[in-house]
Amino acid sequence: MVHTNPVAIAALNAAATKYPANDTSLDDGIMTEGYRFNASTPVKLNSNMARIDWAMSSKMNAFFRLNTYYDHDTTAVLSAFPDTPAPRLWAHPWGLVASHNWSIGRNWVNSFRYGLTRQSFSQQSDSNQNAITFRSVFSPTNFNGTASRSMPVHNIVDDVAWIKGKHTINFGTNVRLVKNNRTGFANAYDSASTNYFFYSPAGTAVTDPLQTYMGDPANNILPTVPGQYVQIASNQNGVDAAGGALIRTYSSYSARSTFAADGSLLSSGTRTNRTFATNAYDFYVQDSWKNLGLRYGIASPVNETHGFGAVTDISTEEFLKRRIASATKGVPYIQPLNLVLAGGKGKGPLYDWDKNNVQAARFRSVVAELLPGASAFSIWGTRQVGHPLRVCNDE
Amino acid sequence: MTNDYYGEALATAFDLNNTLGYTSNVAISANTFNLTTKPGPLFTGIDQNIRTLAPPPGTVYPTSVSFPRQQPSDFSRRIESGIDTALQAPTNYQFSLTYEREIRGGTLFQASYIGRLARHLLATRDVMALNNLRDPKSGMDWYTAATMLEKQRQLGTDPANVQPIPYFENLLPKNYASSLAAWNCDPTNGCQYSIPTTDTATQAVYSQGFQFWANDWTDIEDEIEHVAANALDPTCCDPNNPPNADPLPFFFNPQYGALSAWGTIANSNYHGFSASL
Repeated sequence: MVHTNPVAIAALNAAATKYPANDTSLDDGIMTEGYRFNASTPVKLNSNMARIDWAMSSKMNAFFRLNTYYDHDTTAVLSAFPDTPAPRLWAHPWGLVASHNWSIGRNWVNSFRYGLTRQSFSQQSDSNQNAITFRSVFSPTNFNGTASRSMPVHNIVDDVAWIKGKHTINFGTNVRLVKNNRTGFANAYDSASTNYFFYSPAGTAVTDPLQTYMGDPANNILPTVPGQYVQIASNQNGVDAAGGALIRTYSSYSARSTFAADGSLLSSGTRTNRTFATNAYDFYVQDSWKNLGLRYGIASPVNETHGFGAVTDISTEEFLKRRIASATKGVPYIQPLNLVLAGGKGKGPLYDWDKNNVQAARFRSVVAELLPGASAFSIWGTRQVGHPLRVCNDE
Repeated sequence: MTNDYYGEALATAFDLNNTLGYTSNVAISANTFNLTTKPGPLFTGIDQNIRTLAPPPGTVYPTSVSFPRQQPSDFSRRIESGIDTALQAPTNYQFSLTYEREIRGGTLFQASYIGRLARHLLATRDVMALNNLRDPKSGMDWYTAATMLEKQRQLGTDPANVQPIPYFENLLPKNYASSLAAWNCDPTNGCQYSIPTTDTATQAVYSQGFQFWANDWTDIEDEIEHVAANALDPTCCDPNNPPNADPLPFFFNPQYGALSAWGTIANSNYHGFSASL
């Protein structure tokens, strides 16, 4: 039989001395109680905007605009105790746009725009240590690992208009360069807990022997307060938690490891950095006369730029089809599904390039005269592949 | 004009992590330790080094990672997510047809149809969904056979009156009921419910729902796999010492309990009509 752990009792005693219980409305009020304190929860919301307009000449103008946000929010995750860090949610997105319009001669107009939108936030942590906790009794901090993300999106657009007789011809491009930079410590630290639900048999491992021992008159420890024993017996989770904490053997622990791109083990506490990227390029040409045009787009598959990509060796859709087909024959399909490297070091991209995005302009079809008595008749349709464009419509 | 830049959405919004890859988590399973014969390691301090604790039986703390790699076929029913490697661009179609006619007294009649169709839309589905295993001899599949039992359960039919269904009799070992009786009992805690060892396989499966799981046929499938495997074990069927063989993978995939994967597998059809005077 496991007995109480004096080291655990000393640790709990230190915690109870530092943070004396003062609120019986929390937890069960008998085995464990709460410690309530005033927490500072400031919120700072700041934004700035600047714009410059510049009439460079009678045929040329430009403008530049910058927006920034700088927000701090401490209400999302409160500090665990008065003397532990209050993890801030730090949001600091910003964006800018630069535009240049130029009338070239009498028949040409060029419009160029560059935009950068950079969404970013960081949920900061209150610990850089392994998470060792007494489940439902005491946790030194919240142990929420820092998680940050920034997503710069560059957008380059250029439109050219050319007027020639009845024709107004437009052509141009729209380029988008997208990145998602993520960094975090979710897998950087190990954890261990006196998880009373993990002892075998689950749920009653701690309370059963306690109740048996307390209920035995030979031990002469039956509570003197009427009803107290009944309350303990009916308060299984509270007894489990307190008992598990005093026993303080780890019933649950996890070792989390992270690896470099070459597969080598990184030291505990190393942040995980990932960058997911994709680029998309659109080109178009159209003529307002007869409203004809053509648009083409191509987009790269999402890839992890540091070489951390991995994909299944069989497409999951194909795997499902094989399972269904095999089950129909009465044979379970148990071929293992493997992960293989993707990108430059392995099988290939996560999925194929998206390069079949071609959209033609419209065709007009007026057939009202074919329907006797109809005062109007219209039909239009659209087929959109990837990034769609209407190909047929009425006027 | 609408857009389907699904790559950009995936890059910025996709946030489902698969546990395989460049991270690992070696964790103790529930019921590994008890308070008598198998005590867990002692707490020694709030800054304790976890790596000095013994890893779970049969595992080691990793020192490197290499590919290809796979989740073990250990029937641990892990639930994970992923993305299909055969994504393709969604395709959208929109069309309309309008007929308009002026009738007597300046009244205008108009009838319209609007259609929207889409193919290869992004959606998730569980590619490890439980097999609808078919019995080649009877031609019956799991859902048909289980539905027959569930209807009887809802009517409160006594297990003794349940007639054999070829699906279960063909699929399961002859001593399935004996194996279930052993599986169902614990030397110290007794039996969860009573199973006559002379029951047919159909009656035994029926009892699993009738006496314990009710209409939870997913858990019944899980239990069938364990009980059937134990039935084939040479040491079967001692209630005081039931074997613990690996489950037979009739329904569950050995690697995953569920694997939710994004794919361009969804379609949508919208048809609208209107008429006005």
